[in-house]
Amino acid sequence: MTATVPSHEPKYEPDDLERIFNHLVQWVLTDTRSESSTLHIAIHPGYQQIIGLGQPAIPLLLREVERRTGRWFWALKAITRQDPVPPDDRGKTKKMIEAWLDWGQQQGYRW
Amino acid sequence: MVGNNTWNAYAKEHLEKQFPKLATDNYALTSPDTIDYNCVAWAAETDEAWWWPDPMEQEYWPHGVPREETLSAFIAAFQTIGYETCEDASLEPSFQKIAIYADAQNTPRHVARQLPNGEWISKIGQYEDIQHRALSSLTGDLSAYGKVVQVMKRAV
Repeated sequence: MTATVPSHEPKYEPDDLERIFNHLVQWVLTDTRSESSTLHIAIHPGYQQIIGLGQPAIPLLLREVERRTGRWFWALKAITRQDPVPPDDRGKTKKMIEAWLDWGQQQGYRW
Repeated sequence: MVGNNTWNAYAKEHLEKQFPKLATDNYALTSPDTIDYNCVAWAAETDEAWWWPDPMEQEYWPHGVPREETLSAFIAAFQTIGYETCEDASLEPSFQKIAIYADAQNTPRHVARQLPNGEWISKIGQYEDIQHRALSSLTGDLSAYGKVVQVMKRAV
């Protein structure tokens, strides 16, 4: 059996998407600023909703990565199912930021 | 002390809301807020990586150590840089100590490092580093880091 998506799947206008995204970002940051556990950050309900926004959230996430507001790498990897960060650079925040921003530009995203 | 007075007051207000015992610790902010590194990295004396055993394999974790949020994995991680478990957090000449905090399920939440004067330094998540007098200043339920469940030391 083939899985299908109903035609009434909600789509966001860009302004609505950005407003929803920014609200979720602030929710996550407010609740997780003192967290060292990347897992705890990623399972925050706001973070999960950001992942649920899917591909349209990618340029907004890249913007947050560039602004260095938080650890958004998990969300990018979850949505894109790609990881441009070399294994030796795991956790090295500055190099992770460079890798994801380079990836975004190569993929044609603008933010 | 870092930053301007207004920012420091704002940061301290938020920290003390989350860690009420800090209010009587006479602690100090010792770095700007940054996402470059976290408490585990700072306990390991590096400010260039975020250490955590996340299952998505985004963060740094020592090679060969189980990538799991368990006390045994954290002990093993610090053993890779020369630490061994010990009984207490008292200041011992020629030794450096770290303290691992965990929640009620014994899941690690935080690591602090002892300074040569016996005080402790902690990177608070994505907030600033702080220098605090007592390990107990970051303990507590809910938003705090639980309790200290393991101390480790290495010769310096």
